[in-house]
Amino acid sequence: MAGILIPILPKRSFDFSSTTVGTAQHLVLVERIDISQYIDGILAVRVHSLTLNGADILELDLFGDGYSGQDPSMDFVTTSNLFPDMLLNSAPGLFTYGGTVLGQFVRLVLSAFHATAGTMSATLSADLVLRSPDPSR
Amino acid sequence: MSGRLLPAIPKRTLDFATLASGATQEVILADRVPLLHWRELTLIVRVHSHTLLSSANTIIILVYPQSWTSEDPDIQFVTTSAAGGVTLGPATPSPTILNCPVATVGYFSIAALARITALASRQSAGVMQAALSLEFSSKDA
Repeated sequence: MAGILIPILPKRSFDFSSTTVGTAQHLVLVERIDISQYIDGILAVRVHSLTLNGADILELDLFGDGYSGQDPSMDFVTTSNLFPDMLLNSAPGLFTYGGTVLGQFVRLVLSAFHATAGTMSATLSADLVLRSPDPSR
Repeated sequence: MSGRLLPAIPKRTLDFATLASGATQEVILADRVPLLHWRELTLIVRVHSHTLLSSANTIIILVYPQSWTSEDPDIQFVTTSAAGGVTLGPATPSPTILNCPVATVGYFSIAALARITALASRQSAGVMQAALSLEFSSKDA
């Protein structure tokens, strides 16, 4: 038995209604999540409520985080997310997705593409489940 | 590498005799089954007996990823797609055992909890009963 559950995102509301239509916004919600002792990671995203219009897109992703004490002011981050995209498009709803987690740290990023004028908001919470074959973890 | 057999549902008889033709019904067999620790999961369904006689009548046992939070305890957070499932039909031997992998990575994979349901679909008249018990074979390889 070698799994842990990290409640990485408490219930929180986001409102992208005032962002410019046709633009994307990326919010770093959590940094330096230590995944170094685990092999598999699963994101469990709870969508408590959601308002999207047209082609609006909302995603919650993990990216590799390369924080280094040798250059702490630099923002080292992978260019692509760890897991395939999962569109958060219904509420209330649960979205689980994951796979192998490589490296030492990851960060949690919320991406919103405001495609259609109007309200774009969501209330989300999320857990990260990490698993390892090492029973001592 | 280690493994464990996790009992999920003791022997139970499901009876869909009153289900109307052309209808489906999904019942919850177990809720919030803890599966946090396991990197590999197999659903094991023991079919003790069944009376699925018509070719179009089926019972599908499904395992859904589930979550719960005290921040919104009234909402049932369950994914729209199952992480695994097995189908019983008239061709299913009795007794027998049915296995299927339960996703622990990828889309709609098990995080910490699971809900187990039985989805009955009736297309023609007749008795429709099954005695089942369920377990998970779990490994952390």
